[in-house]
Formats: sequence, C-alpha cells, structure tokens
Amino acid sequence: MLKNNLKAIRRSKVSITQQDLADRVGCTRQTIIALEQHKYNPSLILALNLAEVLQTPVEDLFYLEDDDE
Amino acid sequence: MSRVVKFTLFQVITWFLVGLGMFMIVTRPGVIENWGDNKYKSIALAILFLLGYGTDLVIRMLEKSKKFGFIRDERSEYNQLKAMSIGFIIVLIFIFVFAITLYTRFENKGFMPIGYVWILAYSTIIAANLGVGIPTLIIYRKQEKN
Repeated sequence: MLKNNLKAIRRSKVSITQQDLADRVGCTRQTIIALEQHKYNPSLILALNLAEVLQTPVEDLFYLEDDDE
Repeated sequence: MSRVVKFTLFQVITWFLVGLGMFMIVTRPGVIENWGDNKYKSIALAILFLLGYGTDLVIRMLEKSKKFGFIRDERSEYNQLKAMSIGFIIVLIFIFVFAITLYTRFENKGFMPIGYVWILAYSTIIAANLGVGIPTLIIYRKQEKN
C-alpha cells in the first residue's frame, strides 16, 4: 500500500498551505487532502511534481507499506 | 463538499425525480396497454427527459465556464472512470433483470404489450445516469470524509 509523508513535509520543510501546494502542482485542494489522508494514489507525474515543489526526493515523500501493518 | 460532488448530487437528484415521474406515469392504469394511443403520456415523458438532459447540459456548461473556476484534475478523471466502470455493470445487470422479468411474466401469454419495451428504453437512460452518479458520490465521499 502506498503511503506518504506529504502532510509532515509540507508543514515542516516548506510550510505552505494545501491550496498553495495544489495550485503549484496543478490539482485541487481536495486532492491534496485525499493524498494526505492516504485515500488516493497519485500518478507518477503528480508525485514527481509534489516532490519538486516540496524539495524532497520522491522516495522520501512516498513509501510502500504492507497492508497488514 | 467539493464542487464536483455538489454538481453530481444535483444531477443524481434530478435523474431520481425523472425516474420517479416516469414511474408515476407508466404505472397509471392502461398506460402501458395503450402506449401508442396516449399522446399526453409521450409529452409528459418528453418534458421529464428534457429536464434531465437540460440539467446535464447546464452542469456541463458551468464546468466549462472559466468564470465559474471549476477545476478537474487527475483524481476527478480517475474517479469518473471508476464510477463509469461501476455504472456499466449496473446497467448490464439492470437490463438483464428487466428483460428476464418481462420474459417470465409474459412467457405463458405468448405476447407482451410494446409499451414495456419503451419503458425498458427510457429506464435504461435513468439507470445509466443514476448508476454512474451514485457511485461517483460514494467514491468522493470515501476520499473526502475526514
């Protein structure tokens, strides 16, 4: 299962709002919310765009977790 | 509630009302049996479907309007595809069940009033709209609830 540190990195490293992040990567704020709540898996393009805006390697932003964990 | 969800909810309510209206028309005594002779029924159904498709048209125009600031992103497309896949299955099941029900009901008579075929045609449109709209609402609800 794909998980992410989006919320933590957005708040600590870059400190931008969900709306600002959404505007910069070209999606809606609801999509950022869904991502932060691990309810939506982004496309590779969106994942790379998020990593670029948040100045974080994509593998630090997204990681795989076993379903039973 | 996001704008996509609001629009979809509005669309679902409209098509539900169209379905309800159609049900009320076709269940009146003699309507199915005298399908071809009843001009008022045809006009009433035409108005109902005009209302349904008119709502769809207005929603599409609002979505396209730059002034309204409606944004569709990759999640919207993903959710739409998912809802349409579910809707496709719902429509298949609906047509199958409807056709089999008609067959079992009229099997012994050997003939069936032609009105039922019209009802199948009309109700397939309603089933398709609700079959996509309701799953869309459920998918968004799952993703957007806190």
